[in-house]
Amino acid sequence: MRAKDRTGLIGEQVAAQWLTTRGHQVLATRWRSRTGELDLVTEHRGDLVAVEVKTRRGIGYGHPFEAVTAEKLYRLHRLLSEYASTHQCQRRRRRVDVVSVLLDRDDATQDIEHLEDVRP
Amino acid sequence: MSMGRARGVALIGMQGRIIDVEADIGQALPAFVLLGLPDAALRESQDRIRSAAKNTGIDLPARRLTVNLSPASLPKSGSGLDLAILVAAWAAQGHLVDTEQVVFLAELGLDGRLRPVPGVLPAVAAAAEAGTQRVVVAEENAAEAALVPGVEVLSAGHAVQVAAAFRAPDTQALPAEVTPVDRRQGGSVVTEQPEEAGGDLAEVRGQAEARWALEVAAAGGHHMMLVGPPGAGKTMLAERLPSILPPLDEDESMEVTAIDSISSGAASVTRLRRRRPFEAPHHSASAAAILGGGARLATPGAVTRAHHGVLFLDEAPEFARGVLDSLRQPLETGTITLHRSAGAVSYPAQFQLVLAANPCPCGMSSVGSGAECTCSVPQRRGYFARLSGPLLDRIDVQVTVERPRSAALARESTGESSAAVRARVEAARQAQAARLAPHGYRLNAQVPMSVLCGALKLPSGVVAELDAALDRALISLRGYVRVLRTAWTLADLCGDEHPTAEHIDAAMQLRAVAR
Repeated sequence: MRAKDRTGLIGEQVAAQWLTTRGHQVLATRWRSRTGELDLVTEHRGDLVAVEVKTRRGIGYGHPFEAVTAEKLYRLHRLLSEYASTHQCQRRRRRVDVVSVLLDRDDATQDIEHLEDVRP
Repeated sequence: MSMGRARGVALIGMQGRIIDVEADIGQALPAFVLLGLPDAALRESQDRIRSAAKNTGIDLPARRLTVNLSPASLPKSGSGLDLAILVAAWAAQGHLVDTEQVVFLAELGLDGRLRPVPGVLPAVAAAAEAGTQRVVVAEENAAEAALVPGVEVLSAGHAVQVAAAFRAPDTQALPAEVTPVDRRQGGSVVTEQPEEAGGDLAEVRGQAEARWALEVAAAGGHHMMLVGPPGAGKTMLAERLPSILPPLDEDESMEVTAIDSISSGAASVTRLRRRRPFEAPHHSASAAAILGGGARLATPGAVTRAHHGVLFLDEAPEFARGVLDSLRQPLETGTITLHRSAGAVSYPAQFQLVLAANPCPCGMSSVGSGAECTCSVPQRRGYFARLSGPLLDRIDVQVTVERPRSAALARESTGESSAAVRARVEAARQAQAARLAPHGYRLNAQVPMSVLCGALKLPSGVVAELDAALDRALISLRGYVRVLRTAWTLADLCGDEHPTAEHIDAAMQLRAVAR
């Protein structure tokens, strides 16, 4: 496994744990369709939530949030409605959250930030 | 707290408007949204601000930062709001406090240093008028900002010093030891000595008539034209006019220095000007250069830079005719209003016009018998016709400058010094001011017909010759009024209470050269 994929995997695990302690119920991890992938799908206060996790080992290349572009957000919203239709929960309210995870060299978590209901 | 406020100033022409800068940090993806009609230079500020914040060590949050420049409907331009936006953003993060009532005027460098901006003097003056007590400027602008009485001026070389000065009590320590900002109280005015630049009238040899005409023009604020062959000393005389004018008073000085501040580069103004400005644009100048111009919002031109001073047009007939005629309106009203796509601006333009011209294209027709002149008759006629009648009608003092003879050089004594002439000019101006104060004017050149033919009406015996000239259509009614004005100046210079028939006669002679 390449280093960047490992970083991403650790970040997703950290994020899933962290969200669980804040009332999210994780429904799926790394859900794939033909057109893309959702890092986490959770349920939170009745909402169906697609969570995009961005993990970095330093902010030398910018803050993780800055890597989420409008185009990416459109894709996430589209994938989430695709998920909803395949799991018969189209009538739920849907939203997209973004979580940023900062790791240090020893894979210990330095910082977690969470933005709810992000729109393009 | 996720809201922060600071203040800046937007200049529209010479008028400063207070801008409330509001910054809001929203829980959304990182973005920088700048509202309130910013222009291109101001829009670029967002990148300067982010970099400056990072390199100062107080990062802006990776969130959506919305900045509103209020009043939102007023178009804003330039880089002078950089610091105000950064401070508002820091205040929104909770790093800074008590910034709501403070005006910040500086451009930011990518490393966080503060750069000077043009127009600080009018901006701070506007801020003071609006009740602001503290302004923050770049070091280089500190002296200029401190010219305005009643404000505390804080100046710094780097944004981190500003952060230290307004730091909230319970925030993280600043990244490095910081030198405190420099504080000074405005109004500790340093004035320029009037004798600094320009030549002295003593250097002019001979030219008794022209010197006298110059004195008359200076005393009454009359427009003037010098006609003579090349090398006679027209330019030399005109350049010495500011040296015999009284220095600018307190209010005039503030206005002139403010014009300097917006029309010259940033940080070039450090003291109030006392010497009257002297503008001598080249005859290739366009209307936009003379009157003021620019694409979106017009910038001041030569007529504004010559405000309360002298606008000298050397080789006047060589100027484009449209340019010369466009001077007629500011000559009458003392202001110039320029309309552009982004709006209209008015600039002050009360100047004393001095024209210099050769009598013909080769310049020799007034030398001796005129035999050396090589111009054809139509050429000679056409040359002076370029100065239109309506423009010449506004020139009260017209004088022929002869080439000095060797006798003028041989004479041991030089002419009178500027200081001696200025003393007489100042005395004459005091007499005018005392007489005209009840009517709301200061100089003879400003007095309208209603006053000259009303409260200051002269006995009919004195003006008989002038009345006759008017009846025979030798002069226009405007010319009539202008002769009266010049006659009053002549009387003031002589120390007389009223002009006499001789003064009227001399004043008519002074207008006669070009026709």
